[in-house]
Amino acid sequence: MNRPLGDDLRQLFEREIGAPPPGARQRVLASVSQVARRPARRWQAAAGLVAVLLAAAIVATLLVARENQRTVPGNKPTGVIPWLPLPAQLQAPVVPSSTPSPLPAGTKPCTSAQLQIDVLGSNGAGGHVFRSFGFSGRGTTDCFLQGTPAVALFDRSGHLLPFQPRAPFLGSLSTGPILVQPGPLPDPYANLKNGQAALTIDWVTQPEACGGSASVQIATARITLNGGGAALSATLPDDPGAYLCAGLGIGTFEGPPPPVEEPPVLPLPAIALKVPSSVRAGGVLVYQVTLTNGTLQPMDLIANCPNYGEELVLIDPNGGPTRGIKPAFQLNCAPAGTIQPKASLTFEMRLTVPQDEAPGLYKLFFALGYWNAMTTPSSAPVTISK
Amino acid sequence: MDDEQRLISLAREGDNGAFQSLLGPYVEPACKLAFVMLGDWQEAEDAVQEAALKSWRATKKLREGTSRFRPWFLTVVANECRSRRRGRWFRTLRVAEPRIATQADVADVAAGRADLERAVAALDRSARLLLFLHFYLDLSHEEAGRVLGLSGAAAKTRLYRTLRALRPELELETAL
Repeated sequence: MNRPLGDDLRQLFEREIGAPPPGARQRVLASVSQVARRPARRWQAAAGLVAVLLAAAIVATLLVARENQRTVPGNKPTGVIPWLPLPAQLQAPVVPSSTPSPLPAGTKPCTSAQLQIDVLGSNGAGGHVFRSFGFSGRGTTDCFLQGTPAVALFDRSGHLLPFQPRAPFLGSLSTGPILVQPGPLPDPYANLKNGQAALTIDWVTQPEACGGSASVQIATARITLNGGGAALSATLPDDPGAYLCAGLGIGTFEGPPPPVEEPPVLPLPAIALKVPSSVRAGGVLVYQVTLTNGTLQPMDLIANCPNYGEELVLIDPNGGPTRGIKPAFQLNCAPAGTIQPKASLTFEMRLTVPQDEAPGLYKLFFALGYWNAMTTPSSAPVTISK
Repeated sequence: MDDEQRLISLAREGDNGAFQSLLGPYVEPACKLAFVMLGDWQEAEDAVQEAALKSWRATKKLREGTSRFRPWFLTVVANECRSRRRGRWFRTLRVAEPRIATQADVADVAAGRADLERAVAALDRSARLLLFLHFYLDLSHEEAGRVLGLSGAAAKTRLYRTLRALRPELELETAL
């Protein structure tokens, strides 16, 4: 008899999953400690009230300063800009394309005579094969494809393979009409272009679902449009065999992905870190970041406020390079205003060190970036003590 | 009141140290759960990070008498993963790499493990997840059911059916 199934499953998952990336636990715990607010203690209650009043005054001052900075370009704050737990801005501005692919009035549904078809490629996942077909127009007239066509599959002998229809494994993304124009067929290795369409079908390649029955080899696909007419025929390369009882998923016609213009590339200031030599585990590492505008243009931090990420990494002589830094917060840009060319601004930073962080020599990594595009981090050593 | 209940009580009052002490041991299991659901370590870590932040914010709303942190936190992680999986980007681009057989796999064939691997791969997503929660993370039927939005009894029944499908000849009492 085999070993207990539970042990086999445990080992199977162990093999398949492996271990999370190094430092994952530390990063998750650090992210929580960053946003945590310590509860006010009793003896702090009176001080808390004073702090609230003080904070209100600071906010009012900052708002006035911000207003001044808007009206007086290049106004530079004095001193160190305080840290605020501002959430990172991860959504890049999406600029809608000025050239979408609308369906012109009067466009009619495609007939098979207006279309040419080709096999685009296949993919595999979750015991399924995904086979895509590409379409473009031929002749001189535009038309549109919409919805799910009828797809019949045949083996090499021309016998119809009696698949039961079922929902596509990955769902259907597009249900609207797709404009098809006369032109070349889609490139298998590139996105669809305007005027081209695609259709994806999927079948199961794992035998377990069909209780010992043999697989079938699909050789030809015949696609009949919803409006009827002659079927479009395509010959398939040798894909993995299919199990009939697991059914055939047929997607909907899809068009090119919505065009998105890339946001402009914005310059970033140079970073210089001033980090204390040590900090206690469970304490707050307070350090300074000086940003210098090395470009010839002013940097308006209010209009374009960068995110930053920070990470403490134990210096391990046997370890490899750290992974990319992820954006965690946004700089406190409101009081910063604009950095003039060759000018610098200093920001205070606060990083709570987890209580259970192992003592040792660490490197503090700090990186800036817009949205989630972080640049190469700067670093400085710091010792964590108990 | 045991240590975990005491930490939950402190965390509900806003003690971040207590929350971190609760969270620490479950970050790695949570990352693995997220990886099983999302198939990508980077995405899994992001999901766990987001779930940890949500859990911290929601700690104050934990019901009085909540005595176990693990099933609650893993439920938040699973919900975060489901939410990410529903995203259009994930559905369109995230296609798992087919696993390439290794020498170890070849050796496993003799032991019948490759068959099991194929059978598990053919299971639907929720059945696979249930196996993972129960056999790999050692969650009880009740805890695994909670993560999946099922009662403990329903989780046990589904587990029984799944195991029966995997290895019909097995004496299931020993596995369950």
